[in-house]
Amino acid sequence: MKRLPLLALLFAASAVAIMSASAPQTPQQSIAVTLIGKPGRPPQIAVPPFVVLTPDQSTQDASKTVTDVLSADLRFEREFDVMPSTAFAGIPSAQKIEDLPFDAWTQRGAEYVALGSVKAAANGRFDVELRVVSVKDRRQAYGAGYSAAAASVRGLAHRFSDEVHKNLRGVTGIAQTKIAFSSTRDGERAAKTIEDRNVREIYIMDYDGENQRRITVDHYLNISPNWCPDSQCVAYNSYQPTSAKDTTRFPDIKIQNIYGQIGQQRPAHGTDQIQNYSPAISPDGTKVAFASTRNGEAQDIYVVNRDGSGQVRLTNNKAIDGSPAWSPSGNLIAFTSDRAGSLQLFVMNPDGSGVRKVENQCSHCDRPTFAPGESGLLLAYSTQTSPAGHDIEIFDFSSNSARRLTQGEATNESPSFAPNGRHVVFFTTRWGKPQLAVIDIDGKNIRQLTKLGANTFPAWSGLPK
Amino acid sequence: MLTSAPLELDKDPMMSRIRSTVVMCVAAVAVVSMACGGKKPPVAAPTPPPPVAVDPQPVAPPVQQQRPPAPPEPKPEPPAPVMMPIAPDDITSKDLDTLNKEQLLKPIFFALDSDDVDAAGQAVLVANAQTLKKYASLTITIEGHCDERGTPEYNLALGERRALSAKNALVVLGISADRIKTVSYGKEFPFDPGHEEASFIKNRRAHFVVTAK
Repeated sequence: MKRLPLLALLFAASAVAIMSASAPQTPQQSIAVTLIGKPGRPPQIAVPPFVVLTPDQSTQDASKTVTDVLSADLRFEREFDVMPSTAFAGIPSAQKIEDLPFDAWTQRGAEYVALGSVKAAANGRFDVELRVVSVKDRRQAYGAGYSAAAASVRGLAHRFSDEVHKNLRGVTGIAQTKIAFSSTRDGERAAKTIEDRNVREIYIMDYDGENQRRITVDHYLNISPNWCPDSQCVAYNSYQPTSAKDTTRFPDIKIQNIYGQIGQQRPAHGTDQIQNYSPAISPDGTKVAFASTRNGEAQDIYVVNRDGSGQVRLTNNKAIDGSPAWSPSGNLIAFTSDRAGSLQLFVMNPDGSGVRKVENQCSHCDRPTFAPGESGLLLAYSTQTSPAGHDIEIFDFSSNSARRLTQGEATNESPSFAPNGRHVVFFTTRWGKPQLAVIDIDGKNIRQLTKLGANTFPAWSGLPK
Repeated sequence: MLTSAPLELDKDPMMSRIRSTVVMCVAAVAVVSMACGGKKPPVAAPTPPPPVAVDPQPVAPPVQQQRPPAPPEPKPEPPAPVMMPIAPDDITSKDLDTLNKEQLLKPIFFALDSDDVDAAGQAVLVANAQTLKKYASLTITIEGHCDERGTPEYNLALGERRALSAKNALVVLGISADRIKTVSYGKEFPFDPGHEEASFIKNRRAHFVVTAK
């Protein structure tokens, strides 16, 4: 609520209709337009508490979780106008469609009503059902039932949300996706260094900032995570020595499974003389593009097969060529270079041919990242907008135009697109230490995702298989 | 009736893998922590001292010398030498951690977004080169660091340039490139955690870390 006046001023200046500025703080605000695609006001949906069929505390807790998470997920995507609970006070709950008081719901303006129920089952599990009913048609528009353990109820709500978005709005939801990042939150100090050094490890979390947890145990510097396309592994930059005997620390690329066997690969074959940065796994998962100083000069771009074979050098000059990023089809690699002075954005073919500058106005641009999927060829990046500040921009190759998502509040860097192309995660210092935030591609709905430690290098996963 | 068949969410492979991995991660953290003997308290030395001129004259001869083969003929005993106190040699008596914390080799500092060695930096490099010549067995890693301005990705490349710039200057001063490794830490390890220019100037640096003696 505190940030509302400032945001409102910023939005007023951009001549865009002011709407829900900060949904987590003001969930009762309604949404005026959908994020992209469908014109006009999104349909109003009511999500009353899931009916508790077994009246014990754990079932009540599960009901609250699934109701709250589903409501938040639906609000996040801006394809539904989720009604505040005060808007349907007094309307009796119902378990069956035929029990719904349709006249009362029509009077309150609801176009959809979510009828959910939770029932305790054997082994501490819950049977959870959801029907979304069209009030106008007086029939079910979506329905599903799942069994989940207590710890999986959040994930189940995310699944409901993605299915409702797909079925009712034709939109790919991202409620089951994750974000990887680098964090100092453990407060661990590196051993045997001149000054006090915070260890950075790689973490992952749900898209909404929940379930944050560490996935690396390298005890030194771990940065630049990048997801495998199947979201089952993460490539990242680790400064951990290759063996316990050798204590020389240097940056190399590791690929690590997140689930099950924690196998690791080092496809770029790093040594203290062959240093590697900024891994980017190709959309088909077979190759890794990266930056390396192995030629004894500034970073150049290389590409190597996941198994470490077939390494090819793509750029070759004394300038910095860094931060490679694959286009969704894998037919372009974007990267940064200071070959013409300050850091600018370039694209090239995956074999290093056809290098050309991105035609945006760049002041020290960095961390290019393509929008996924079929949303057109869009490139997000940071650009310097003040002596110590950067802002996030999106460049549209079809119109050769850029638009700015953040508006000079502290610094905003290292963007990464959600896999449906509708949101961008980045880090910002507007709340003090660097923290991850997510913003919609129209520059609205900024939300803080992390609070502990300093958090940078965000990377959004792909969609669940 | 429901339109979708009930699914066992918990049998979804991702869900079950997530739980098992949490356990594995916790276990792995515990194992590695024990293996590393726990965390050590930080040693702070936040203020970089000004360049210090190194005494150009050798302070002490090498402590250990190979004795030549015994002479075939006994000779008259020389007069008993007068024992003089010898200053302990820092390099031989101290371990690497101590040497580095005491900054046997001094850091150099850079201007904003620059990897040029300025006059003050060059003077420090001359002194560092003298130390490296005096103790020819030392090998070092030069760490390139940056202040917090600028993007994290770019600063990794800038830190690399600073480390290489310092290395090249030492090579020009006669130090073998074989003795020098470089690494960039970008802006991830600030010397001074402040957010003002007074801190930034200390963070735009190259550290010279002794890795073997």
